[in-house]
Amino acid sequence: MSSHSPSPVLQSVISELLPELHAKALCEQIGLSAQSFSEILLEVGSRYSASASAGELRTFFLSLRVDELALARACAAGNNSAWEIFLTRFREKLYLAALRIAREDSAARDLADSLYADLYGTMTRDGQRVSKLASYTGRGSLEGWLRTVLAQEYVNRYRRTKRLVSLEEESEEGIQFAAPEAQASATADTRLEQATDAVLAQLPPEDRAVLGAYFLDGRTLAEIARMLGVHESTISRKLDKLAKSLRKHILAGLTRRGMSRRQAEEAIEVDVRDLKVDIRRSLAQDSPSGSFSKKTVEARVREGEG
Amino acid sequence: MSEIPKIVRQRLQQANNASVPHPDANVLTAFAESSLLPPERTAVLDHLSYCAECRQVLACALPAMEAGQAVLPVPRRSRVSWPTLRWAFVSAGIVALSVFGFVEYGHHDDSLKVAKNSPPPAAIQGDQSAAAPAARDALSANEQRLQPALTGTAPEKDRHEPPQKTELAKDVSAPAVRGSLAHGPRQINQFQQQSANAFQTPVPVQNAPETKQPVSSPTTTGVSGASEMIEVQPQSAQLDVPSHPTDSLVAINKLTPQPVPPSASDGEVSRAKSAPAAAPAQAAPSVLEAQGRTFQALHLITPTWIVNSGRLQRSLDQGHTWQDVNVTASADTGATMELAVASSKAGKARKDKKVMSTAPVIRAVAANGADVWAGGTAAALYHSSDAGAHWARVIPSSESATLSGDILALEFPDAQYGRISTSTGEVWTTADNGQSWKRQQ
Repeated sequence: MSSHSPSPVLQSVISELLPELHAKALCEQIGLSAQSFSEILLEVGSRYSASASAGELRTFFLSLRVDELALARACAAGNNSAWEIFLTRFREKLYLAALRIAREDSAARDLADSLYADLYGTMTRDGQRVSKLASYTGRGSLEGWLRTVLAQEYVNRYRRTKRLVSLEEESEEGIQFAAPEAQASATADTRLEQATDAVLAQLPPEDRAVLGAYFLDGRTLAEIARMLGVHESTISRKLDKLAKSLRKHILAGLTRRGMSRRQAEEAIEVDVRDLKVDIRRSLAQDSPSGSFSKKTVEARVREGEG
Repeated sequence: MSEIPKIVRQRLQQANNASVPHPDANVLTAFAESSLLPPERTAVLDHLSYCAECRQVLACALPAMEAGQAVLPVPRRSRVSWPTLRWAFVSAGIVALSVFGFVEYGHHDDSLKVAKNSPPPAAIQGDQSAAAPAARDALSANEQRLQPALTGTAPEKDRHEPPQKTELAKDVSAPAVRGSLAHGPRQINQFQQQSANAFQTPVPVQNAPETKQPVSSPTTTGVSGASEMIEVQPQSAQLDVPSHPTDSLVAINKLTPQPVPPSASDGEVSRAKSAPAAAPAQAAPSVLEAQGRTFQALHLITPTWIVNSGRLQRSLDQGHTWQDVNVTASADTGATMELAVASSKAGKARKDKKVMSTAPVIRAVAANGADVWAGGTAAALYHSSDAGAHWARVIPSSESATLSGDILALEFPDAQYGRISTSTGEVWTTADNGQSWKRQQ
């Protein structure tokens, strides 16, 4: 998959570890030769990092799920006995995972079937069957990877249907749901946003991810904890702390940007949605038909793309 | 949870619009499994902080908290459903109480006296067997069956019984359980009060022996009398029978005019049991007989099935523990299913060997409530219509061909329609739950 030739470090690490990994991957069972396995490792390794040291690469290769990697790649290559093993091991699990994601039997079957089609490789590229299993690199468990791929497929579909639905709603109800973000940011006092962005940017990525998952996605503490692999109480404490400190820091940022203490407190209390409604109303009074037709055209264009 | 300023919400949302490539499924999986190196992990977290989609993917891809929890199909009405069982328990209790009262009425003074100075039971055993072997046989048979049923189900009753039955059933269950656990004199008194009450108050229970006798022939009367006597033994045996040989001897002799073959009296017991019960209790004998068997629970829970390394496994507790199921055990012999419960590691290894030696390698399983299909190597296809208790081998064939090769996949989306694919590329379908098969193409 890498266009440039693999680095010598990578090649030497692979040739050093090949016997061990080849044995660990149980390649004999599925008839995968050492030669083709080393090619797979080379591809996976060069995808990982171009500038990793030999030690890092060694750790990387030893942490790989080579047995599942070998199985997945053998399936992708159309090896029948590998497919048999794969189906035996994952067929039921895959469906159960789909059911967990889709929560409804027929949708789950649909989801699992479409993934099977991808895994089997129905797409032809240069007259060749490309299986989705060829993109598995053994970094996580194969089962986890299958769940993730299912979830990605589900989220993609969901987004697609959601967009279609919301477009219909929008065109039915006129401009009621016009995109507010652009308008709001264009007219509102940018100091509040600047201060907020600055505070958010200073947070560690994990804190921002937790904020997003909790306040935007409406995930439960337990879900976030499992997503990040930490204890639920850690997330709970983190959110408490964040909620307290965020306000304080934004206020401080606003006063630094030349607001008085009182102005800053008023600014932070303003409901952004109220603000947007006002703006929209004023815009609508200016040119109601214009914004409507513009939006409809936009919607059509997007529909055409989708 | 405390709130955050609205502007923070808005700015977080805004950040979502950033369009950068999402992390690979491999990386997301490794992130979820905490197997990324720290710099990589930070990079993914950074992406997650502004990408709602990847957060959703991550949340969707979480493994099941408790395996199978969310995926169990809605349990279907099994052969013996809760309402029936409930009635069965209630009626069993009524029978026990009425028979107890009936017998006690005759000699409750004796049994009270006797229980206090219990002589060694060995002598009684001899006496009893000499006097009425048939009765004793039936007694031991009943003891095995009724004791677990009564002790096991009494607490259930408190929860499940219909309101109109509550009073009566409580009377039945409470002494029955206590009686089998502890047998002090106080308990006996309670028993007597209970039985005396039951006898005096005109509850429907009392009608049982009386209404029955006129209908049945002279011999059956004797037999049913004997069996009713026996019926009582399991719970009151410790109280009166062993302690007062002569008395119980008299009772048995009185009620058993001629030796009765155990099987006949056994059957009578069942009939006597169902006689006083209301119509829904018709299933009582079969339920009582099934009590205590391993697969009794199957009728109450829809099991989850998986295939693990060529073995068929079943979970009755939503995936916490798995049992190997041998599909050939009952298919070959027609006997009760052989269950290899693999709870401990050592036990598992041992049982595995046993199962592997007899069972074919299972490749696929499909379940529809209690209807289970399992397929494996060498065209092995097995069907169970009672959630795995009994299996029958099915050989799909049409007029010209028979299924060959290894079965790789089974699909039974509903109870009627099924589809099998094999390693030889054959696809077989059925539209009548396996009665007839058609090979495609």
